[in-house]
Amino acid sequence: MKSSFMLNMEISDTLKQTGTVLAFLAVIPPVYLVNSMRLGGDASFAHHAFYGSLFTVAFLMMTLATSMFRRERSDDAMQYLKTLPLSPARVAARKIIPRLFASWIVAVLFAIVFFRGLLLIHRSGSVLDAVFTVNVILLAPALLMAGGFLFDVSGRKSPVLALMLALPALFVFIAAGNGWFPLLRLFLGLWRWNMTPGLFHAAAILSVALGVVLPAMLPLLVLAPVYREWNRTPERVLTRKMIRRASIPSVALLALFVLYFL
Amino acid sequence: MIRLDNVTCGYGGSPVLSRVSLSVAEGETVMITGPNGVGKSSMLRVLAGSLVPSKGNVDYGWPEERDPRHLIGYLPDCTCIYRSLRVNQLERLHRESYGLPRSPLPLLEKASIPESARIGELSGGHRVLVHLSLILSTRPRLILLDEVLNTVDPYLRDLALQEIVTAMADTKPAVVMVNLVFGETAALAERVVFLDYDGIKLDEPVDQLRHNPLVQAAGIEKGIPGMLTELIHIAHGERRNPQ
Repeated sequence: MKSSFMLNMEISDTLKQTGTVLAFLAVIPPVYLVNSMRLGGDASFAHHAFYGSLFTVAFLMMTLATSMFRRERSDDAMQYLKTLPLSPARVAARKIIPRLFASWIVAVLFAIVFFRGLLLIHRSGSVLDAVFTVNVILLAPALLMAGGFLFDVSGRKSPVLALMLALPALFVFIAAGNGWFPLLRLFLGLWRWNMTPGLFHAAAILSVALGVVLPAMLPLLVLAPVYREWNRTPERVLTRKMIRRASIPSVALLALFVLYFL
Repeated sequence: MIRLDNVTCGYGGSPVLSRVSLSVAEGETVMITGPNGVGKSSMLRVLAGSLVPSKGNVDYGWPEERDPRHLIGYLPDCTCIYRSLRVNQLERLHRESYGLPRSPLPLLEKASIPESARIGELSGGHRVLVHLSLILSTRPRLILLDEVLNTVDPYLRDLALQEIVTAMADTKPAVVMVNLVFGETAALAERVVFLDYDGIKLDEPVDQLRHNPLVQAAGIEKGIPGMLTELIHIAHGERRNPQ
């Protein structure tokens, strides 16, 4: 398979980055012990474990998303990579897929342990929970990785572009975190309808697809043509083109953000 | 025939190259020289497919269905290869990217560079040789060399030159090199292009260079290296004191 060494290299880098960040989990028991024994805190170990893990998982995703080209930058090998006859899609796949899988696996484990599994500190399942799970666990990391990849490609110099590229994942995360009912009411006017459960579920999924998934993906999708020339375009020019192209979808997403959640 | 046609390019500010045209025949060896900052390296980057022109075209004259970088070997002006990898790992990455089977890298053996050595632990000269070996191993139809061989010691430079000459005899690639030091690598050139701040000022086969009025004004008695050095002095002088 073409460039399998590159894929192996990316998998190895991903495992190292993931292992390093997950090592932070080891801090949770000592923090709990210090809190409960020394400081007299009454929060349970489950509480500590939940928030410690949540922070670690979020930090892991941010780390993975923003370190796509860490090796190239520390080795000063960006220019070399750009001269290799690899298609832009192949480079993106090699960089994003291992990190996305690592994010998904860690996020799914987190969800199993804290939402449905051992500690059972969250609500039980429903179709809206399923939509929540899919969006938060699968879609938000995918958007975060794609955004992080594009930001890394751009040279990581523009905070405006960073915000634009982080917005889609944030939007999905907050949309899910706020619950779907306000969105459903707003988007499809469901409060007027007397729906069967099946129709309600279908409408919920459709409204999430049209009201959340599609708008969230737009700022990233419009950057695909700009990315196609990533290896031939100076980073400064690339950043400028990305900001120009993603500005309208980002503003639209921001407007939806305000409309839905504020 | 490889053609740059009215190429303008830059890095986001004012253009570095403006409406520059150049053609290089297969098997021809062209040396580009000129003062710093005129766009010599940018011209190589455009030829290498690493910099897209904002205006103008690059035509390699090769079948278009394939990424032209498959047929280009580019040694940039820095040793920008993965320092964290070992030589054999980098060789594998390079080979797989080009979709080529494993082939020996004789230059590394001649220079006693072990395959298991980490690139970051090699000297600058050895890194250049590793990179050169990799690009020659793909049997490119266009070889682009950006000055970097001048940082290599004379013994290793001789090895590198022998390897380039062997590749030239073997596959007859077009070779475009940027030179500021007119030493051994420049001696390979059949044609000299002098790039100035306002574009190409001189484009002559080496054997006709002495007859060019610009070169005659720079002083024939200095020999070709001296004349080219003098042209760079003149270009700087003209820039400082524009008429």
